[in-house]
Amino acid sequence: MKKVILWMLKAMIAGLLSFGIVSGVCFFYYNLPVHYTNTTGATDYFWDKETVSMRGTEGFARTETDENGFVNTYPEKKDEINVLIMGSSHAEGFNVNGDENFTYVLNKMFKDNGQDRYAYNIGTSGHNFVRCLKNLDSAIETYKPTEYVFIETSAIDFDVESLEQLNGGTYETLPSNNHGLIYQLQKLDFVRLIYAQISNFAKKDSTDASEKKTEEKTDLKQYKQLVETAVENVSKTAEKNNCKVVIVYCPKVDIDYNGEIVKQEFTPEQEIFINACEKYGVEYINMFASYEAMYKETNNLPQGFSNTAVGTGHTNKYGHSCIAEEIYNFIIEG
Amino acid sequence: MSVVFTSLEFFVLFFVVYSLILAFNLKVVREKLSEKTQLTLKHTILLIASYVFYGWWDYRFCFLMFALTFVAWLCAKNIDRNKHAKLFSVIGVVFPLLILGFFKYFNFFVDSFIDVFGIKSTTTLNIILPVGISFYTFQSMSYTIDVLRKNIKSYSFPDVALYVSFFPQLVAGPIVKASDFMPQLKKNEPLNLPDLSKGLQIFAFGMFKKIVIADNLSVFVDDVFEKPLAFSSISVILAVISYSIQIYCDFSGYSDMAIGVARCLGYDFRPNFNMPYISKNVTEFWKRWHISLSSWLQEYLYIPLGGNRKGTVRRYINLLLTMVLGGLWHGANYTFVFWGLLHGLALCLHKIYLKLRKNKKENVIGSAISVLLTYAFVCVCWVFFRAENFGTAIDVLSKMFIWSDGITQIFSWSIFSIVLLIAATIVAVVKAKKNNSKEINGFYPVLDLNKISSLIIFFLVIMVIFMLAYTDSNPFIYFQF
Repeated sequence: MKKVILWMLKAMIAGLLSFGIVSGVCFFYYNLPVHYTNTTGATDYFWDKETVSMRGTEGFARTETDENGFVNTYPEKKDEINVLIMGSSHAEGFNVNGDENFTYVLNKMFKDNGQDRYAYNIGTSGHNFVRCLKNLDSAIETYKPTEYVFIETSAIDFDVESLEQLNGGTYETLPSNNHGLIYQLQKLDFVRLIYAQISNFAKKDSTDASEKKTEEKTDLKQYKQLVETAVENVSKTAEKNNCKVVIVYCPKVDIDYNGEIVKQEFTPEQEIFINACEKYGVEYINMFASYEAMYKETNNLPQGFSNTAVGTGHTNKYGHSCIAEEIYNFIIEG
Repeated sequence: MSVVFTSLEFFVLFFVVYSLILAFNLKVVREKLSEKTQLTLKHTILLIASYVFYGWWDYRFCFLMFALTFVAWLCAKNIDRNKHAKLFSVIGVVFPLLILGFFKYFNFFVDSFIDVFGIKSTTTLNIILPVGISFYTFQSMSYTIDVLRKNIKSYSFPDVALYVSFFPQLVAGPIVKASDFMPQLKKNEPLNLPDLSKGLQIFAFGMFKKIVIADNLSVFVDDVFEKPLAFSSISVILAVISYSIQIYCDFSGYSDMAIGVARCLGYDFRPNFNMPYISKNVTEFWKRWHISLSSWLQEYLYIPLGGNRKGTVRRYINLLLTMVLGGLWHGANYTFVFWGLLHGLALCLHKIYLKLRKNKKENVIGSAISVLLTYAFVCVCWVFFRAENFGTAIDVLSKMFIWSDGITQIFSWSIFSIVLLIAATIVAVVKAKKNNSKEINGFYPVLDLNKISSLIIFFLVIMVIFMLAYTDSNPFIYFQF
């Protein structure tokens, strides 16, 4: 009995020491900030302010957040924001270094070309297109962009329920766990990584069910009405605030056996969105052609990293550079 | 899929089985039950667990395994009693082969027949390949042949059933010979901590190989083999090297887990891999790669065919035939047959070389070149093993040997794995030198978990496995065989 207790004591000490060591390693491998509810409503939440984060699970990146909890590492800040960037983890530059995301590159292009403009990025992980539309009014009110709002999205087809909630004003804000035990646990990088691993593992098992769900047919008439209402609201918001809202569609690019880009084809739902943008005068940039040109020229795809499959996952530095160039040209050409 | 070693279901099953068998360590149980009863009960628990393990995927195939077991038991019993021994030895070998042939090769041979004779409008059967069928058919044959050769006596039906279905090695090996396993069923040793400690460490070692190295590499390998013409030559070469590491870590990882689980339960399986990529020639490679299969093929196919006893030409024919059938064993596809043929040819060439060479002295540079050349040859062969068809294999090889542009992906997991493998090899070489051993052997770094430093290393390994594990679904490669 005495032996068993002694061994258990040793095991506990060893466990704690091991935990300390892996936590140290995770500081460099999976060190994410915690998010807090954003009372301005410009986004659902913002990250820890002025914090460094690092991650190596998809690419290897080091980013810093600014005084507002967003990723804006461009050193020459200005009070007046001309261009506001909204979007998800792609816009945030979740898996690229702070100086590689498209807002940073865009600001650099402005400077290099003598443009007195400043872009500010409030792109935050988890903020899909519908969520960005929900926050659009507050975002413009908070940051008062003088010229443009660019909303990055990797999808232009949406689920009916989300659209109904958006148009009805009932789309819920993502909660933040900024107090209590979960908040403290989030600060432990190793615990957070294990949580992410378990979530991924569980997600794998639920894929079949979600696939079945997406197979359900959409009532296109109802869908069209919902999309048009949402886009019309975007148009009204832009008009009210005297700025242009531009939607930047960053699709996934697939390649075939021979290394050729698979031609882009739109589903009826996606076509409804494109037509709605045209109908209500909301500008829409489709990144596909630029991505295709970049691939033909450099053999680089806009998504994927050195530790993931090519062309999958988040936007990489090549994709960000491409988006920045496209936005820059759009602004210059007016 | 049957229960997988890396699933929650397996850990639950193992915990239940281990706890039940642990009950036989209790003094009360040992005193009240006779040795024979204890053994019978232990084997019954393991047998039920093995059928649950297998039936998790599709319970219907439990009947197939049961039928194979019954035939093997019946044949061996009659052979042992010398009752129509010839007839029963033929049935004992032909029946498993027919089962294997039907489930695994029926459509392959029908398709080949159709192709050769240009027959149109035929339909093939929709046959589901039972997982692990190649392994347990070979084991049931091994039992019959071992009894026929008088290597072992015939055993009771539950013992044979446990040997064929024993869950640690059931679905992906190692192929355990009856003469190695059956005598272990007679032992009635209580479960003990050293076995558990050793078994868990070997299991963790295998798990690291499988879900950290092999599964993460599969992302890159699958990508390149899906669209080889999209990638640059350097990426394709790296992908082929990555596949060589992936298949090694996948399969040897599974073997390690099987060996570890068996060890925890007090059973000994021989190592199935021994640093195959340091082989100086193909003959050595087959002594280090999938040892249980190569020794099975040697003992139950090559030697009965005549081995090297019937002249040089027959020896080469036997070698080629054994390797081609070995290739076919892996899967019903011509790419596997060609893979086996390439290895068979290389083995023949090596035998010829051994006959012709004059200078038998080895030097370091010569050995290093031999290792590199053997590894390069094995990698080229892996292309046929991995590719879906000959077209893809040729495209991959042309990309490897004709320099061309494309997507350049220097996959970080590949670099990590190569560095790790080289480091492990250096450690093994240093260890061999330290022990003044001429043979370089792989080893399981089994630690004494009574020491706090060992416990820290063990926990670190477990935590690193959880940290770096590939969490998407990726079944063991050898499950399909």
